[in-house]
Amino acid sequence: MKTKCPECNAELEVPKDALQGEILSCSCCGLELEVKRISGESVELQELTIEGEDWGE
Amino acid sequence: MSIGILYERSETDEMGIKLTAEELGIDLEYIPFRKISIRIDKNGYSFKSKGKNYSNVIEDISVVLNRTQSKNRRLFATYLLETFGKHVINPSPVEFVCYSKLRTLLHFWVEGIGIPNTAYVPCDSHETTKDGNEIYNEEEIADLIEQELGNGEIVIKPDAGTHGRMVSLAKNRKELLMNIQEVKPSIINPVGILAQEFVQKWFYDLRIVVTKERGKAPCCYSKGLARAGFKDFRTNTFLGNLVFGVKLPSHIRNMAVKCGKAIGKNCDAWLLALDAMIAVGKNKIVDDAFVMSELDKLATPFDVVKKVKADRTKKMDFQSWNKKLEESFQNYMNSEAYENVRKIIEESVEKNRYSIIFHEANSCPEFWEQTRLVAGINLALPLLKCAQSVAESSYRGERK
Ligand SMILES: Nc1ncnc2c1ncn2[C@@H]1O[C@H](COP(=O)(O)OP(=O)(O)OP(=O)(O)O)[C@@H](O)[C@H]1O
Repeated sequence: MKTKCPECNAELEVPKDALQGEILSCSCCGLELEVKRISGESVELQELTIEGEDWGE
Repeated sequence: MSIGILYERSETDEMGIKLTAEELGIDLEYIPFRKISIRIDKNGYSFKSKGKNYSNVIEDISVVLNRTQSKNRRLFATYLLETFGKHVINPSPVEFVCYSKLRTLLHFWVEGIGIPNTAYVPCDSHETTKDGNEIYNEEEIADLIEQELGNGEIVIKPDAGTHGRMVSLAKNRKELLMNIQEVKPSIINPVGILAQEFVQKWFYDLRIVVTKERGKAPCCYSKGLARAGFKDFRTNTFLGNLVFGVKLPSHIRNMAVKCGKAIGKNCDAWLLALDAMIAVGKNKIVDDAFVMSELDKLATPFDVVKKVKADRTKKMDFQSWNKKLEESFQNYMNSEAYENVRKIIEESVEKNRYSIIFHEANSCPEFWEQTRLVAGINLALPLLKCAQSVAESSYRGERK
């Protein structure tokens, strides 16, 4: 299954046996994405918002 | 030659920089920093993610805007890129100072800039001896702090903290001991205890932007962002406080430029957001109760702002989301209560301008949502100008 990274727009190949809740990462920018829904050939991904202790200002 | 932007997760600030660069016709190269490996060997360097080689991208740019969100990663990124011959905004000496509140305060102190009375005790609250015994140092540390700052209200804060995390206020010895005990060596406070007198500010503090382009004198924006609220002594915006755009007296702007020079020293181009408090003490111009009631009136329009900010569609359609954000802020700022509080803060700042106290300098400030829409400062513009000013100098072969 093919989809696009919401961050860098790179094409992502989601494995056929991917499960809902599985964490994938974009091979281009490394963004972590959670598989939200799979129906047929379409897959919905959502960005995982990771935030370290020393992030932000 | 284009400009690079290094990021970890693109937030509205990074998307805003992108939008602003597009409007100005500036090419930006996006480099995701968190999932990249950087290799150095006898042949040179490479910069690769699992799926893409960024080495040529890096090779082609002369200047990088460092928007890496983690302070530690940002510092590493600066050193790496500078070693590869790139200009970085901000440069490493600036990042190194801003990383630590103590280092920042020392630089201000040397220049005679007002800072909170500060005591640093380079000892951790809890240690384990070689033979496994536990040592508790709270009492001793509290004695040392009270010896320097007295036994009034004392603020403890992590040296490299952000967003007000672990910043605590002790009103008495018991609370001080408890707060010291809470401080464990961590990424945001590697060693020791940083303590400050509690500055008798009123219900607000200030964020002030100073910047320097290559070949120009440092300058301070005429407006600042006041963060205001009564709920917590920490008035920073991350904790949900309200924001106001206020005019800054020239004395404060001059002091801010002095702070910028103290940190920027010989660097060509930099941009800093300074955090400052005003020791208003009893010099309040209206009753707290009146300000509180005005702030209460602003809660509803500000909730709308918060809702738009939290909207997850922003990544999908940034421009429409941005329009919604602008409208919500405009609605909040159009209210009478906003204008009333804004005027109170402005008057209070003007009257107490000589009691300004600077306590922090942020090298990668968030700006797209509040600083831009409330204080009218789109930091993407000075950031890009700083980058262009150093890029042009390299293009002309002016680099040493
Ligand atoms: N010495 C002090 N006296 C009174 N209030 C203080 C003092 N130090 C900090 N504060 C309040 O606590 C807030 C958070 O402190 P500080 O800015 O040091 O933390 P931070 O983690 O760097 O937050 P941010 O990343 O938002 O700047 C400040 O905005 C200020 O309102």
